[in-house]
Amino acid sequence: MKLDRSHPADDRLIAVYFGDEEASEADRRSVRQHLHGCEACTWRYTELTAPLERLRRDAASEADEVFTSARLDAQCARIMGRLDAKTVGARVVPFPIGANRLSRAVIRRPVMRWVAAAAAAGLLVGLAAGRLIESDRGRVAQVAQTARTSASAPRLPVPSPEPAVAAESDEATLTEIEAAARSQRIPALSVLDQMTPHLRQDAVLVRAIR
Amino acid sequence: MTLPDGPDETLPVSLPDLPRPDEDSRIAAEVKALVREGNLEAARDRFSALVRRQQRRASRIAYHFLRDAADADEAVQDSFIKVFSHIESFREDLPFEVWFTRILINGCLDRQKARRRRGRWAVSLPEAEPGERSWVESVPAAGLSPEEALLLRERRAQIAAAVGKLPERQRTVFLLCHYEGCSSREVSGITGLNESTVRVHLFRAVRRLRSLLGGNL
Repeated sequence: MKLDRSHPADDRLIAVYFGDEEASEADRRSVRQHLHGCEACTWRYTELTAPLERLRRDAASEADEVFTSARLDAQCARIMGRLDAKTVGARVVPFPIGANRLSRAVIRRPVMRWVAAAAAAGLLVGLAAGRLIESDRGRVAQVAQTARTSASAPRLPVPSPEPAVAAESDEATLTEIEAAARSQRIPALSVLDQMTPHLRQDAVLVRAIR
Repeated sequence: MTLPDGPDETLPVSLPDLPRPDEDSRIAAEVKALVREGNLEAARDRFSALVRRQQRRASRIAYHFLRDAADADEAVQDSFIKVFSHIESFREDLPFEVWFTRILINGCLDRQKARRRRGRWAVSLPEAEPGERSWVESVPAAGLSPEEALLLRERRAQIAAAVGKLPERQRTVFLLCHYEGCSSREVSGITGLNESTVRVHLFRAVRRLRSLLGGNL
């Protein structure tokens, strides 16, 4: 479409729509006057700017639908949180909470400290006394047990009126044992065997003494 | 395009005559003074007021850039943290909004680049198309029938896809000028581009969107 010279071009119309500050006031006034008088240009201007206006409204509402007030609040909170971490630095979180509370209570109340110390001392004294008593009882019981044992224990063999008969029977038993042992002698143990005094020798020795 | 992120010295030499500092700038100046005194607790408390005032606008901008609610949320958070960390480089004679928006947009652009890098190596799901991720999260406007809500979602998806196809500078200028109502002078302050360049990018963006969307715009 070839336009009359007086018809403003699209760019000029858009410039007017965007409020172009470079265009002089006189220029803008002349365009507006032309638009009032020229139906074709008014139609062109509307055709150009109405969709742009709709686009702007649409864009704003679209962004506002995504960034609701709640979301903006959360965003603000996150920004402040990040700034806290940046400005205040790392915070020491008291851990564990129970222990911290207890230690604070102990620091604030010296009476409680004394009570705790007295309880600990009492416990120690009690333990020590209990142990002493227990050890005394044990000693007494041991002495009594020793006495009982010595009273009931079999005495050392008293020489009987017929020693020869007993010696004869012992002799026979020992001889039997020795014979049995000798039959299964292990060569590796022979050295130990030689070092060990034999029962028979002992018996002969005892008889000789008698 | 990475916008100059830093503080004052990266601003263009021919800085346009931006509006005088507003309430936000006054609060930012207070935060700066408190930080300088070493009173970080008070600075943090004062800064929360600034966050409250700016976060909705910031979330909108980030969402339009990134088209993903979680990503936008993180970008906004990071920007505020960055602002607080560098508050000492804030110039009281300039609007806080311009400085903050510059930081935010740079953060968004970095995220977009990172996403693109990841996208080169990641295999996307069959139904996942660019710009569609956020639709899962978006809640249809109240009072719409299911059909209307579906149409609205489709329309939004088309527009988002078309805006996403714009070159980076055009998209930035278009989003700031059109969605946020920034003047070309303010966009010039935010992006560091010349004012006339901003206007050129804006016209081109509108033209391209019209051709991309046809009757849907």
